[in-house]
Amino acid sequence: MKEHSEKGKIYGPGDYSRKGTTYLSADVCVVGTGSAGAVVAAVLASAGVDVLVLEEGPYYASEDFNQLEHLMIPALYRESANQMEECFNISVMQGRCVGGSPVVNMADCVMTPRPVHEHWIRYFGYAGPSYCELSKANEINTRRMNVNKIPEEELNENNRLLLESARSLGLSARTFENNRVNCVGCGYCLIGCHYRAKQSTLVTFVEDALKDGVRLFSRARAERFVWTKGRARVLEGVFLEKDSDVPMGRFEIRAHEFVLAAGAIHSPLVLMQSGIQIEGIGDNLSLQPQMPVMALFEKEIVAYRGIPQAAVVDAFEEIDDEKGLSGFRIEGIMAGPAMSSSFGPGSGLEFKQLMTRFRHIAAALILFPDRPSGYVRVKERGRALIKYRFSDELARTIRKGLKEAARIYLHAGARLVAFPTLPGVTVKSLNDLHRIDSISFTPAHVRMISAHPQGTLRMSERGPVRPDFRLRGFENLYVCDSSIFPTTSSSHIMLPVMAYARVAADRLIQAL
Amino acid sequence: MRKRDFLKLNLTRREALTLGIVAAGYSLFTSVVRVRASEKAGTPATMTTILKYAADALLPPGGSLPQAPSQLGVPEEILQFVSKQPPSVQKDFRSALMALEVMPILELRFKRFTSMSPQERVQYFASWEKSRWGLKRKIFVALKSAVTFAYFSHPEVWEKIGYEGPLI
Ligand SMILES: Cc1cc2nc3c(=O)[nH]c(=O)nc-3n(C[C@H](O)[C@H](O)[C@H](O)COP(=O)(O)OP(=O)(O)OC[C@H]3O[C@@H](n4cnc5c(N)ncnc54)[C@H](O)[C@@H]3O)c2cc1C
Ligand code: SF4
Repeated sequence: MKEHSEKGKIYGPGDYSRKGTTYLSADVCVVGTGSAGAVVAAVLASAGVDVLVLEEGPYYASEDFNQLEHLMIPALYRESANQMEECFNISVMQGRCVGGSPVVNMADCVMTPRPVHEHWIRYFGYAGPSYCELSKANEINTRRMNVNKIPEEELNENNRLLLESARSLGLSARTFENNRVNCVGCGYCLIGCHYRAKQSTLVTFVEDALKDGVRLFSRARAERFVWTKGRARVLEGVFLEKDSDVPMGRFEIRAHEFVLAAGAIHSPLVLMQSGIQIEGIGDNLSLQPQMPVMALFEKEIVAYRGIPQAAVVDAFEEIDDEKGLSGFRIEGIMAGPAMSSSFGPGSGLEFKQLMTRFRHIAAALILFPDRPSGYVRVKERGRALIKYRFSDELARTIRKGLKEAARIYLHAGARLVAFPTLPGVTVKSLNDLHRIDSISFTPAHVRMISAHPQGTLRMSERGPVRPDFRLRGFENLYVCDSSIFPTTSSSHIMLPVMAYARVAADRLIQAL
Repeated sequence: MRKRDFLKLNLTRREALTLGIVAAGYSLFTSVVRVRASEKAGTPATMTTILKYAADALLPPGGSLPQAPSQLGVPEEILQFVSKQPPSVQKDFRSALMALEVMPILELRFKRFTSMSPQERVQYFASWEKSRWGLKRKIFVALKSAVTFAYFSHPEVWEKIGYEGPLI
């Protein structure tokens, strides 16, 4: 049998040669196995297309997720969840494993609101898939992922407290729609679901794709396209060692069509490494920064058990076709002690003392849909330089968001509310809220998170991606991941990415 | 610990240059000291020692969490992790530790970081969090993330904070 030709198999470092170059071919080659790549691969394969998929990260099956942060975070996240933007204010978190970010995500399901779509048409000359087409695609995806609403009875104390306190202040708050089934409430969604309860790409679309014969190459990093006359001819890259990013051998792939689905940071990187110069590649980055907040209570909260992210205060979110998505939302959340501690305030005995009260800490993320305000460039091969600037407007909104979160927690009886800023800001009563005004957004002053980078290969009138998903000037190179949104697409972008990916795959099938 | 990139500092060109100058100054300083001083106080500290003191300054022993990071082998775990990182990360890491070691001298405190008393080290390193200089804050964040992540991954620590660990 020809090497690497077995269908429906996940290949890994044990299957690769260290010597010379491995040559592979397929009808379609997909880069990435996250929200976009997994859906595209599954849809194409179900139509009988010969698909080869590349994934830079390793393959872990559900039973391998051992609930140990110090092993799972380095294994499943890009740069061990510490991919920092240049100013060191935001850690840009991305999954890097078979299944991509959904393997480590919080399973919140929110489709692009219609006014956001209208906003793109109005202000960005967007002429891509219609809202109706996307809604149909979303319906199929959400059915496959068993999307359902979290019943209020299933809230853990952390989320219940947030919801009830907000409501008692007259603020709108509700539970999320999510893609969990038979969840046992272990609390480890951020480091992979051992129980197959989270219906992530890994246990849905990746499995579907494999059943339909896709060949998936894990630890295979796409580096550059060789292209001429508007056609990508070959995709070159390297196989990586199992436990380190040391290259172990090269590969070259020939395919009729290529689909780039490496996420909003790395899809533009691959194009830049290929010497493709199209205006807008890597620009217009939105990070949707999120600020962690911890609140200390007298009673036990045990926030790290139960469904970690289940309730949202959406009273401050604004959605309209003039501005798209803006304002902020406050969402209950908690990680294990290792990850939580690196977002705790301050240092020394006081910080240690706070951590000894781990069971008494409630936590949330305040999410800020932003205007595009950054860009991505190549730092080293395969590593991104991420530049991001906080606009004055965003800084004002963030300070407002922190005050509202503090108000909600103080109303619920918190002894102390803390933000991971430098220096750390803590609030013990409403009289302390003015301290939040001192928070600066110049380099290394805040410890925020981004889980939703978007926009670096815009599908817009002058953007690098055309309405039919093809890269401008290219016949056979498609992009369909989180990089194509003109502005922030939703407060949680997995469903929007998947809907676009399904439409892209349908179009590609017609074109083949 | 395996791949962790807490210590990548994303240095700007100016910061890298500053760190380079600090590092060069440090090498010069230590070579002079090595020649001139005979006793222990002048011996240049190794990376392990600087990291050990930095970790214990960030999470000092005492309170209801008595163990210091160094008692749990946290500095060694971090160093082992760093040794597997790309050369650029390793270099940033060494420069960061050197900056911490030598900066007190440049600030006319007449002591290296590792020559300070434990109490002085706690106060000195905590002051980096409030520093007006972005580079100091970056180093503070990077080291704090690495140290707290490794420290709170230890079952001995979980026991003290009431975290039961994995359910499987
Ligand atoms: C911690 C966390 C929590 C989140 N929570 C939610 C949530 O609750 N709800 C929600 O809707 N969204 C959530 N998200 C966001 C959502 O999961 C992502 O935005 C979405 O998956 C993006 O899809 P994508 O296909 O663009 O990229 P990804 O899903 O990130 O997939 C990209 C894949 O491409 C691979 N890749 C990158 N470069 C290369 C290369 N050169 N060669 C080969 N492979 C490559 C990567 O390793 C990765 O697996 C969360 C994200 C994170 C990190
Ligand atoms: S909380 Fe539920 S979905 Fe999350 S990891 Fe545990 S069982 Fe899986």
